[in-house]
Amino acid sequence: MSVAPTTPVEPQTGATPTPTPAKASLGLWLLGLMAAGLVVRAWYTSLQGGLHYPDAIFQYLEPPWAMMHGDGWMPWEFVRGARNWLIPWHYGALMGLGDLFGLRGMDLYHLLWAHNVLLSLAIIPAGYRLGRAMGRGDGRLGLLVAGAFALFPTFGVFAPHTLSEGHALVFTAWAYALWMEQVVWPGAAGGRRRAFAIGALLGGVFIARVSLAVFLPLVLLDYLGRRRWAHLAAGSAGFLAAMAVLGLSDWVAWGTPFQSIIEYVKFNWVEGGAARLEVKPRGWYWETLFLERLGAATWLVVAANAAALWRHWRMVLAWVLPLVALSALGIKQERFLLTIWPFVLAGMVGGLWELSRWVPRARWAPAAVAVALVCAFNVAGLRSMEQLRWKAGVFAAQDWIGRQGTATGVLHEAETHIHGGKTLLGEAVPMVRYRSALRGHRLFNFVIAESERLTKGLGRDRHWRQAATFEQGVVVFERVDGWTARAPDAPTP
Amino acid sequence: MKHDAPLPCPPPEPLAVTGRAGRWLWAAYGLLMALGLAVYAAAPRVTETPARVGTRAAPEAANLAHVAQGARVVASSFMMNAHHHPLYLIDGEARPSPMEKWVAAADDAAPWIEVRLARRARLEALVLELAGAHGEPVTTNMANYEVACVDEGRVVASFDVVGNLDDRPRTALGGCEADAVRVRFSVGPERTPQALVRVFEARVLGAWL
Repeated sequence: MSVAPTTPVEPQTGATPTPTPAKASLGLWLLGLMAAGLVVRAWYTSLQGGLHYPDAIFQYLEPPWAMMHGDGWMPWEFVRGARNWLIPWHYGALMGLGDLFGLRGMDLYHLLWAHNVLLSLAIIPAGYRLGRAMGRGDGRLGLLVAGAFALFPTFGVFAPHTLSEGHALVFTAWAYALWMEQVVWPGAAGGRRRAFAIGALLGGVFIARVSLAVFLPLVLLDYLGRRRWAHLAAGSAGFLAAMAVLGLSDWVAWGTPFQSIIEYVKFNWVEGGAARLEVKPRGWYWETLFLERLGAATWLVVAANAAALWRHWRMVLAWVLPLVALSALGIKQERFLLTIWPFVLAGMVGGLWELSRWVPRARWAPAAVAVALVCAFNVAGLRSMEQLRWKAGVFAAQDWIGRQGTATGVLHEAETHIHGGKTLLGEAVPMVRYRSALRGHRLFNFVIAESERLTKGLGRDRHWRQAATFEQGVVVFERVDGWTARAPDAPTP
Repeated sequence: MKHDAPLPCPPPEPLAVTGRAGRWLWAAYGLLMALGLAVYAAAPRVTETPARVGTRAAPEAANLAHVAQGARVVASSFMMNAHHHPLYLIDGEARPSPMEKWVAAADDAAPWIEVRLARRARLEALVLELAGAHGEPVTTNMANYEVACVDEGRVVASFDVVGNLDDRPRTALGGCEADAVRVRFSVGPERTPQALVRVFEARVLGAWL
């Protein structure tokens, strides 16, 4: 890191002078890291297609699309009222903007993905401020943490997706960055305002996913432990303000304040519903998030975090506590723990920063090498991720059918919630799972075939013609005797 | 010095995104989202099937409300999770499965449909195929509804149907000249057979002008 020119250290009472690169130089580095972060995210976005998690479509896009266009498929959570509408409304606003420009189908998805990629860049300046606070004002540690947040490939993979974890990641990173600054510079101006913002951001994390409330106790206990009563009061007020927004939104959407929380508690704890969904063993997060995604670099991360315990114990607890708490819950998915990664990386960088005191001229080097190593292992670890192009062919097929302007009904082989939804089709026509009884129904003039059996069957059927093919063996058949059929000899696009 | 002793004040921000310009950026983003939300909130929130140009003759020439005739449907709502799409109303299917009917959403207190024709026509009758027509209990047939001839968005004639018991009720439209037919249903109280509107087919008989 050749940000050689260092500003003279401000005389600080009782503080050890720390070399800090000039403000302009830091700014350029940070901008460069944001550009690098954009490249990583854009690269992983370009590699992906199709379904990441069904919830990305059916919990956050399909509900606002259905409200706006009167057509869609609502998951049980939105029938029962077990989810709040704040994030769907956010996507609804983006859909509204898309509508102004006539964006439909994959074009609309690309707008949403671009938005989310840009939004995810917000964690990079948060990383800078977090690291700078960990380094007690040393901008070099800030840049190292920001660099880790920019380059870590897992963030790139998750960045475009319309999951609540994207919002939660930004909220958590900023809440903890502001909190760490408050720990290091408690006398800075606007302390209560900052505490209010921290509380509100943690409230946002809770709104994005209730189980991410596990990020609250550390801050709360820290305020209590340091007897920061004014900060505790202001932070609580911020959290309550976020809860008021949640209550109001539930009242507007469901007719009852906090309906989504009430139903969440009922389903998960009273009815034991969580036990029926994707229950995984306690060690699943460790095996999947660390051993599978980081490989041998896991041990580097663990060792460096152990070294961080003395000076940066807050950062270590910031990911260890949520990991332990969420591992105790039966339902586990990789995305649920996306929010711990910033602190795993910050802890690692902090630990190596402390260990490398003996190389004062290039103190940043060990941590920078470690970030590069962890990112490289993560690139390799992500290759096994199934969701990079899951159902990409089906998505392309739905988009293509929507653009034809002739669809009166679509049959698909995928399960009801394993495709791009009506949001992607962009046409208010029936779209249901294929069954042979519907094959003769003239209203259904497109079939998205995935299996070889159906592809062969429709290929032999004189009522159907192969209209287009897509990756993963997906074939679109068009009915030749549909109500709006093209001529049987029309060229295949 | 204790390693975590507090320091007096943080160094200045190195990058605009976290400073004043950042606040302008977020303010602009907020305005953009507000604009998008306004468009979202202003959406009509009805199901409107797309207009299609038929290339095959409809099975019944006199039925102007068929997808092959270029008709489309606007509905106040539909039961999305069970796929009871309003387009089934004008598919002309003689032997539909239980799925192939329009069912209004359970929370729709004032369900309605509007069958929009390809162009103006002289309308003779509206024939509905209610739930009883295809094996569901006759008690689920809608008893009370209002039928209106609509021309360029204006109601030109309306007819009340009260106490219907028929599976396939026919409402004479008296030769009104219109480009759409609207039906407003009166639903029964919750958990009664008529709490949900179920209609398999809507046929509008008449001749093009």
